[in-house]
Amino acid sequence: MLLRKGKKRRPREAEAVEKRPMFRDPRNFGLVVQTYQNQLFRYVYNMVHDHHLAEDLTQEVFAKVYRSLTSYNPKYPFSAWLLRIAHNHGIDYLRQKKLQTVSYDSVTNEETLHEASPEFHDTSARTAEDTTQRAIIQEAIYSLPVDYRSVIVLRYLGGTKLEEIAYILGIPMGTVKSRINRARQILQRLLAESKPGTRAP
Amino acid sequence: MSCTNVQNLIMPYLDGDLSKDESNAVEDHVQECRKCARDLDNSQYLSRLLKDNLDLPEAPKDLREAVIETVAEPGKDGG
Ligand SMILES: [Zn+2]
Repeated sequence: MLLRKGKKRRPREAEAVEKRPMFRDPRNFGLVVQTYQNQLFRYVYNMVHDHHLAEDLTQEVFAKVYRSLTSYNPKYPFSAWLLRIAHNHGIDYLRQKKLQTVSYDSVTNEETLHEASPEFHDTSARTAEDTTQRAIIQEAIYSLPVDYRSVIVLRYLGGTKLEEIAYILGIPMGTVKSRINRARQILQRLLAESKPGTRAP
Repeated sequence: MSCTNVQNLIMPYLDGDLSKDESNAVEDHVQECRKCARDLDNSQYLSRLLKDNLDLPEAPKDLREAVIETVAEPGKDGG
């Protein structure tokens, strides 16, 4: 029957860190990095789709975070604040590279594929069918403009609340909702085109 | 509840963002309306696909150390 997603997926340690003021203390920065490195790395990786680049950018993001720890306003969760910094940093990078409205794949093929080795090509541990489906879906996600990809990744990577997504991306709630809907429509169409077994609206 | 209203509530319904009354209204509607039931089904399927297939690499092993090294560089004195 109808499934309802009840709980937000956020690691327990992350909650614990957020609730204590200790993370503002630079001496505890190692713990902050430890707790949030996967979340930030994944977010940045999904923006730029390049492992090495994502690593460099994530490092820079943490350096920015470190320098501005005292400016964190606990109105939003600490993780949302970190993602906001990561998003802005990623957008700055993409803007410099003039990639922001271009499908990443079309650029990747021409310019950076020879130096990047996207993680999803490492499919050794998966079954062939699973790999195909994963590859198709990931390709569809990466073909979205970054504005749309960001909302999808935040929504489905971390189950981030709409209000937090609005804060992270610096856009109104209404825009978040319309981008999610639009992105889903695009994805549904792409998936229907690429795989006959996938249900279309 | 009209089909248009239900359409707008499908996403928040799946995300668990609706009140009990609103959820019940959506559930009642899709019992009666095949179109909305199918849209709900499709949306649910897509949500599942996205959740299950996002590209989620682990942070590189040496990231933490590299970050700590970076921020520990001279410039600011913490005390
Ligand atoms: Zn209906």
